Amino acid sequence: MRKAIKLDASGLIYLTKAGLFDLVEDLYEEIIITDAVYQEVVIQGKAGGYPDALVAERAIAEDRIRVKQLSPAADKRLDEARFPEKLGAGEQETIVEALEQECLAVLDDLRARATAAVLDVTLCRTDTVLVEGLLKRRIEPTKFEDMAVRLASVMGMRADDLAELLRLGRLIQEVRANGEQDVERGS
Amino acid sequence: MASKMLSVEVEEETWQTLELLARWRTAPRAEMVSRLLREGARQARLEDAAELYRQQEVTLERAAEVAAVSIYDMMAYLRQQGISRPSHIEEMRADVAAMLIRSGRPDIAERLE
Repeated sequence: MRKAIKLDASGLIYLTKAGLFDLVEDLYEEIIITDAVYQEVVIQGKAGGYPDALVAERAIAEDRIRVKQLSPAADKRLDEARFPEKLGAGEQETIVEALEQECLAVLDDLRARATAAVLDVTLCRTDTVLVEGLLKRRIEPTKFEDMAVRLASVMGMRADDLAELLRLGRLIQEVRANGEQDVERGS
Repeated sequence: MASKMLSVEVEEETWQTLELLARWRTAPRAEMVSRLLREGARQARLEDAAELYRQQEVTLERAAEVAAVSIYDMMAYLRQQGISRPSHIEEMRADVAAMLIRSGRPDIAERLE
């Protein structure tokens, strides 16, 4: 069953820059960002003249992304969580909302992920969204490598990280090629 | 915007540079010094926030907040300075393993170790 996904600011920007937004829409039932992420990506982005901000704004206007205000319960959790000051506002909101809604949170930063993991939030990275696309047969193996390289470029990924991403992709492709049972069972 | 007075001692060479700049820019010296100080302070803030990020003391998003710039500006600055993201291989593997387990394929998840 497809689930909702919550993106933090950097996740949304990277996926937009790499032209992978359509994949995310295909994989998940709903794409949600919090108000703090909206402020960072759209409002501040437009003020700085960044074209990706306009792309994100258009996606919101087309209802492809939903901007969600924190619910009172999530707001309360945010106060009580006393997140370390090492995390940004958008990351904090993304974590509490993912917790409240029991959905997947896309977080890349180690500190944000460590905090989210302690709270038992289900996590994904921006780059591993591609692997999920391969797993769920939404990306053809021939396209995976190009997408990975493109994403690595916009994320400023290290060469060894890209090599690992490609290796993980090849592992999934092996599984598919061996004709194993569709991995969508149980997802 | 509220302002405060600042009195600072400068070296003779710096004084002369400021005089020269004020002439070139045909700006009152005080105004020019204030602008240079403002720009210099912003730059220092950006540099310090980037260093915190490089040392993994703060996330990218938080670094942008600390520097009082947009996340886009911080991404661009880090790239310009050649400050790359920390390696995330273990996290990547953990994510994909969790993804496989959620998809009912723990057997494949084990192969990631």
